[in-house]
Amino acid sequence: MTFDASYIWPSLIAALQCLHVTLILSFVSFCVGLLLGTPVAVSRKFHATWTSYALGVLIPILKGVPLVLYVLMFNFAILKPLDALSEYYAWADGLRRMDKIYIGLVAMSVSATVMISETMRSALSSVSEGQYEACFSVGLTKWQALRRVVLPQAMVFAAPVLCNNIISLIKGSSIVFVVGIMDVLNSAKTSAQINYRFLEAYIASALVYWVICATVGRIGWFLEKRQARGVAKAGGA
Amino acid sequence: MISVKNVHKTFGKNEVLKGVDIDVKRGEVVVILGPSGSGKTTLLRCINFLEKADEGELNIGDISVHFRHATRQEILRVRRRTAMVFQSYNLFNNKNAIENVMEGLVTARKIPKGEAYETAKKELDKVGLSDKYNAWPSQLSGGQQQRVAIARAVALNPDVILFDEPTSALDPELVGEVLSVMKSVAREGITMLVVTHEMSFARDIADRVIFMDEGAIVEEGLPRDIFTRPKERRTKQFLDRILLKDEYVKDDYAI
Repeated sequence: MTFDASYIWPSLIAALQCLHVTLILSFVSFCVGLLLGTPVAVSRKFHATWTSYALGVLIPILKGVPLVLYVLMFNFAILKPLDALSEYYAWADGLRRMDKIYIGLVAMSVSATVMISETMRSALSSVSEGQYEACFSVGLTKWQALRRVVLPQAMVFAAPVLCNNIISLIKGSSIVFVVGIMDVLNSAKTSAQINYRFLEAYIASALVYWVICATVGRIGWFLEKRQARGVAKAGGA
Repeated sequence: MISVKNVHKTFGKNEVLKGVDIDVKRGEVVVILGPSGSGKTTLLRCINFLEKADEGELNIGDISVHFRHATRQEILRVRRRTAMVFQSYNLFNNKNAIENVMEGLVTARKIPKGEAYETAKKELDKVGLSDKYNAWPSQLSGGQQQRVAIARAVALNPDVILFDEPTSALDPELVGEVLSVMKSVAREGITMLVVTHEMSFARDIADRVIFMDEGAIVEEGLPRDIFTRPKERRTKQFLDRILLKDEYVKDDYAI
């Protein structure tokens, strides 16, 4: 079977019809990751309470689990109990048939939280000790120092890495086909099942991913430039 | 006004402070001299709890705390009565000059923004930076950054300003501008505790000089007494070394 570029087009259309699934999976999990990962990083950095020690054990373990395993595990862990419950309860039966995108979202959010907490931890370490000391010397509390001075500076350091994190999540989201979620890749692949033009379908979905990632990279680059103009990373010493 | 008693501090096996007592009266300018490793900087950092001393007491105005048992609230109260000027300036990098001065006033002392802005403007004018309100730290020279840092400290109207080698990180030609700002701060009657290697500042401005070595005070007195007839041999050795070097460069530091 030879390669025929004309088959790319229908696959591309099929892929684009599920574009929103890929975007929701990657951007929602990124936002959750940022929202949960930042406090995790702060807590680990300051050894605030016993939770910091617990996170110090937990995060390195979770970091070693591939995304595809999260997807498979959550698929199992969420659906299996519902299967059992649905024999007795109607609501469980309803939940059992839910859109699997929710399972994908949970799995990807956990993975994103772990990833972004590490990004933010290294960004926090990039802010010099002197900035904290200056905050304390003018009478700010630890929280005020974090909120007013340290986190805004850490975000500057984190921005390029966070941009890479989003791109990893966009590409990583393609793995959700293993539980049958219809995202860009899965939809393109399915469209090829009638004519066996898989290579064209793969190229079509690759194009879609490439355009999304290039756009995100471009936006990130633009934001970085704007930030660099406003606030310089290292003032003076 | 401010006094510390019997401060002890150990880093690991290294005993850095071995029972230091200092009394500073209101409006007094006290300079602490000493070779590096003598514990001068650690002493300053203990006073506003950037380091936690192992032993000793601190009195500032009506506040009296024990270094080891100070609660978070007490530490905050002490820090809101003191201000510090750092060797490496430590301006807030995400804030411009005037925001740097306003931050402590607005966030820590809950002074309304408008009022804080006026105070900050006044203080920046006093250190000669009336054209740099909106400059970012990265756009300022070391000397200008340190002057902003001094304005930031003075704006808080603290009971005492702690200066931790404020000119040590500066290019030699920028030392003068910072010293002259410090002199004008001293003339305003602000209580200052200064760790420095600038002998001219100690000689001309200090009300009292304290010489420290190996974590303890060796001798203290009026600058002219310390500089012309030190009682202790260690003080004399230190001054001989420093002043000899100073002779060559004194003219460059003319203020």
